[in-house]
Formats: sequence, C-alpha cells, structure tokens
Amino acid sequence: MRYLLFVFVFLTAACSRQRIPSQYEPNTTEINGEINSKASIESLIAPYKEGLDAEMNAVIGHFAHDMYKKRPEGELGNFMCDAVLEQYNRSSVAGDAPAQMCFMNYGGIRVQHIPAGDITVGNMFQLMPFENEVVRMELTGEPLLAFLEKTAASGGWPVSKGVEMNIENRQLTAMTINGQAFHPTKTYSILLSDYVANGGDGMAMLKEMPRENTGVKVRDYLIAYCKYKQSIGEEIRADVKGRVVSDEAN
Amino acid sequence: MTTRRDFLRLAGLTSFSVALPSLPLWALEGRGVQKLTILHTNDVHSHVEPFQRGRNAGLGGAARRAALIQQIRQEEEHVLLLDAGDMFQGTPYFNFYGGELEFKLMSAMNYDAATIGNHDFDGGIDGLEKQLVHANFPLVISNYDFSDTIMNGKTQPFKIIRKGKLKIGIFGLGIELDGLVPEALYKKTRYLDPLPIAKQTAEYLKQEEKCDFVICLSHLGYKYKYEKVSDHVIAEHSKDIDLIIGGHTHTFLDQPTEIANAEGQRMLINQVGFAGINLGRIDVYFDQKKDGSRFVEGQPILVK
Repeated sequence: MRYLLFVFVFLTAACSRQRIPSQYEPNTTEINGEINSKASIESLIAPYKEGLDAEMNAVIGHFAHDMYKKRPEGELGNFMCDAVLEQYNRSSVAGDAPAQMCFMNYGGIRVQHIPAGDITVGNMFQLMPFENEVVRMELTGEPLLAFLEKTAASGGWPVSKGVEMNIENRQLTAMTINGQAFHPTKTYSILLSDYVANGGDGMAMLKEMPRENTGVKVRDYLIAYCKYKQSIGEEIRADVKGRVVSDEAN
Repeated sequence: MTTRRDFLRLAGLTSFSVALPSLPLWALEGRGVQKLTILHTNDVHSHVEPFQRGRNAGLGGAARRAALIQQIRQEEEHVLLLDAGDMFQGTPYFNFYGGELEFKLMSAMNYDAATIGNHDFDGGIDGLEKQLVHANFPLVISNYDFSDTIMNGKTQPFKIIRKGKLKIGIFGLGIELDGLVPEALYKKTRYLDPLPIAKQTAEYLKQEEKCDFVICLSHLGYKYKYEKVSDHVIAEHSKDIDLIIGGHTHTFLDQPTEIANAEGQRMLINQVGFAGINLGRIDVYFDQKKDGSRFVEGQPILVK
C-alpha cells in the first residue's frame, strides 16, 4: 500500500511537470533536383503557371532598335530613365510638380541586351525584377553635387533625355539640363528608385533627404510607358546620343 | 516515465545527485522521451518554381518542398511546419495572383502557422486580407495592432498546439513597418515594441499555459550591426523562449545558433536563407529532468 502511494505521487509529479528540450539535432535540407516533385502540388500550380506564361508573353510594344546595357551610356538605361520620367509626368501623381530628370543605378539594369522587335511583359520583368518603387526628391547644393559626382566616379549612371553630363577622369566636368547650364544652388526635381534614395549603391548622402513616394514600381512605369507608346502606334527609341560622355568611353 | 535522477530526488537522495556526472545522451533513450520535428521556411517570396537562372539555378520549388515534407511526415510522428514571413513578393506569381497560390500551396502542405513579413503587405493590407480565405493555417503576430484595419480579428497573437504529450506555444513578431513599407499599404496597422511583448507572451505561454516548448516566429531579422531589435536581442533579453525561427535578413545558417537567454539558459535561433532553397529542420528531444542537459546538440535518439 505504501509502495502504491509512492508510485502514485511519483507518477503525478512526473506527468504534471513540463518537459525540457534536452537535446536537438539540426537537419536543414537543400531543396534541389534530387527531390522529386509532388504531383498534386504540380497540378495545383499548373493552371496558375499557364495563366502567368500567357500574361508574361503578352506583347506590350516594339523596340525600334537593339538595346544594350552599356557605360557610360546605353540604350537600356536610356529607355528606363525616359520611360519612368515620361510616365511619371503623364500621371496624376505628378500633379503640378513634374520631375526634371530621372537617374537609374547602372547595377539595377538586369539584362545585357533586348533585341529590336516586339517586347513583352516578361522582358520588363527580366530588365527590372526588383520591386523598387519610384520616389521623387528635390535636391540642391551639397547632397545634389555629391550624388552627381558619385555617378561620375562610378563611370556614369543612366539618365533621362535632355540631360548631358561630361565625365573626365571619373569627375563631372560639365552638365546641362535641356540646354540650360546646371547650377548646384538651384533645386532640381529628380526621380530615383527607392533603392537609391535609401542610400543604395553608395548613395548614402540621399538617405536622410526628404522624398515623395509615388507608390508605383519602376517596372510598372516601364510597362505603362510601353503600352502607352503601343496605344499611339509609336515604336520605342532610346538611342545613345551623348547624354553621358566619358573620356574612358567604351 | 522518469529517470534515475528523478528517482533519486523523489527518494530523498538528492545529495547523491551532486556526485553524479551529467547524464550521457544515451540515458535519454527509452520511455518518456518525446520527439518533436520542427520544419520551417522563411522569406519564400513567391518562389513557386525552382530558380531557372543565376547562382541559385535549380534550387527551390514548392512541389519538391511538399514531397520532402510528405516524406518526413511519413517517418516522424510529431511534425510542426512553420513559416517566418515574407511569403509574398518576388516572382510574377505574386504580381499576377496577389498571393493566392502561395497561400494555397502552404495550405496543401499543411503549415501549422506563419507570421507576417513586411512584404506580405505589398499587395496592401486589403490584398493580404483578401487572400486569407486561401489559408487554412493561422497568421500569428503579437506586436501588430490591427484594431483599426480590415485585418482586425483575423490574426492571433499565439497558437498552442499539442503533439503527443507535448504542448507547444507559438507566437509571432513583426518588423517595424514605417520606412520599410509605404503607409498606404499597411494603413492603420500599429507596430508595437516587440521586446516587451515577446517577454510577456512567452512568459504567459511557458509559465501560465505550461507549454513545454515556446517558439517565436520572428520577422525582425537575425542580427544588426547597429542598434535595432533583432532575433539576437529578443533571445538575449527574454527567458521563456526556446526557439526563434527567424526571417527578413535572408540569413543562411548552416545550423541553428545556440545562444544564452537572459537567465543564461541555452536556446536556439534558426533561419534558412530565402526562396524555399532550404527546408529548415530541427528535431528536439524532450524529457522531464529539471536539472538535466538543455539543448545539447547530438545524434538522433531512438524514442520508444
């Protein structure tokens, strides 16, 4: 009897007590080709994939010429900056505060070449796979100059139509905007991706500067621009014509 | 049901235990030991299909992950499947379908819970709410106040799950949204300081609900060089969390980080990169020795 009571107390104590994680064994597994796909999951994905492929293959415009990623200036960079600037200024977001120029970071161009001809939504996803949003900043003085100098120091960044920059020895030596001389004391309205505005690609000087979010992704402006051009029956051109000229060109 | 050390203590012979060396791992084998297999992902970012190009070419893919999970479920009795947020955004699947497929896939794989990452707001808080109908698992988040939003009442601060004899408490922590997500997307969501909430929630789960194991699903990020709340900060300043499954920083850990909590007790932080390239797995063995070893890394134990 005494023994049974002992066992009872013993069991109660043991059962009510929280358990302790005494030992562990980590076993993270890479998901690679050695693992076969689960058929029911593939079937679940299939209709979405088909729909997606159809969307991605939709033709949204026509490139009049081959477009390349190049420094100090290339067609793809020109296209992106023109598309964002034009489409922003056409949109209601711009209101009565149009932007004067757009810069894209060179590293943000994610394909080397898109051939002349029909272009698709998929092309725009390849060109700009990131989800970055367009922001507008009004820049002047020291941070503006520091930003421009940094683009020159890195060999030149893509910029929109109407801007001409001359780089010598990786320094900015001349700049005009729509034929007007650049004055660092003036305030300029500039479009950038939020990646750059957040200090990305060495642009820490922009990080604390005021900005206006558009809420529109870079890629969505690119797609909207292509569709707009298509709707008015225009081919897209973004020729290299001396927007950014450098003494180390090519 | 018990161990020699418990027996000795109950028999009033605790002074003997001083003389006992710490028990070897084989002592765990046998009756009373419970095994829990925790599977986890983070920052899957709408990577439905394996990568087709780039340095991760050929890796990932939901259909493969599901097959692996199915295989593990066949082998193990007690499995938890969890996600630490940023399920959305990163491939056109999200842009075109708004997260519907991501939630359907996680539901088909029987996820037990997920927390909310900053990118899960990318379709707007309304976009997130709209997809909830496709999720058969709860979103656990304890430091976002959704009272004045469409998500009000549609998440839970924690979830308690029983597996065998184990009671497991799972709660979620989200990152500060201001500056990371446009306000137009998260609307009136209020971010609350995660550290005091983590302490309170974990204490409630461990001390009042008597959970055997408390898991924090965190989208705060692994660790920062500057002063910013992270998984490390939560770990070092709390006492009732056993495991943090992290996300946001896309950190590839070869194995979980062992870290001492505020009371010097060992706990774990794990994170497995992003895009479903890895399936995280930690097998945890439980026993009832109060003064026994805690989170010793070791070989598999045969649980009888």
